[in-house]
Amino acid sequence: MFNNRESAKERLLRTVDAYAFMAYETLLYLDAYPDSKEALECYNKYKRLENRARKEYESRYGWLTAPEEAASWEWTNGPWPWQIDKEGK
Amino acid sequence: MFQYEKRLQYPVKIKTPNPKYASIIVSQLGGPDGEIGASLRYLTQRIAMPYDKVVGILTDVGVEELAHFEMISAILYQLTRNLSYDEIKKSGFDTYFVDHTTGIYPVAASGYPYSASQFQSKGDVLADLNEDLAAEQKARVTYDNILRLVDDPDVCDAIKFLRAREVVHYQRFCDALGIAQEKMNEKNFYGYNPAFDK
Repeated sequence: MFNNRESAKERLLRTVDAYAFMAYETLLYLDAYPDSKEALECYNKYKRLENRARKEYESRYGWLTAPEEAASWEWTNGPWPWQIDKEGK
Repeated sequence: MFQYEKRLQYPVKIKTPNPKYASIIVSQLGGPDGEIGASLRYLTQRIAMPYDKVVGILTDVGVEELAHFEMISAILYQLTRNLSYDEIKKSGFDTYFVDHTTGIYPVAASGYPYSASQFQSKGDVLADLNEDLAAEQKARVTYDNILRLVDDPDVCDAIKFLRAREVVHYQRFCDALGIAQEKMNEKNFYGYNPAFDK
């Protein structure tokens, strides 16, 4: 049932979420202010961090997006993002 | 083209189910200022938008709204786990339950199903961008009202994130309106519609 403690998996996913959010938020800002060097540096920095965290998460816990190539098909393995109290069926 | 990412934009982890809260929050799924209407508004308006930067803002915000639709769905799913018949009847969730059980369906809190009549794609730069500014403020007010009615910190955490996004989107649409007006100032923008008149 419900586990209140954050697992290592959840912590790593939160790291992906946080970096991805920073990258996306700066992307949206750059849409309106493409000449901002500060925003561009910020975007590049957080996109790099996001990609690194994403690779680490995917190597341990499974794909976040469909993979380039795969030895076996794990895309439909749960839990899906809204399922919090089961490991998938 | 769109690609799915197997994660929520911001985590949703609700410990205590509460069908009463679900019947309020469902309005941000399919209500007049809900997330699916927001997404469709921007993703349709962007097609006839003549200015590239504004197309970019409408596209990126429109896609983020889909992620918010998914977050609201996750909130509703988690608030309606393991319900007893008694809880369903007492909470007032029974009027939703009779039609949808605990499936996720876009309706307003009043029960009115999602309708495209809740937004406009006018094909006019100023009309569309001003609608977008108002839409973000109206959604922000709905989240404020949800925060007045809900006191579970797990629920409020996700709702506060969504509320903050409405404020940021409003700021970006202010930028978009500025960009459009600058372009239109090159001609007499009271005299023509650059989305239609060439």
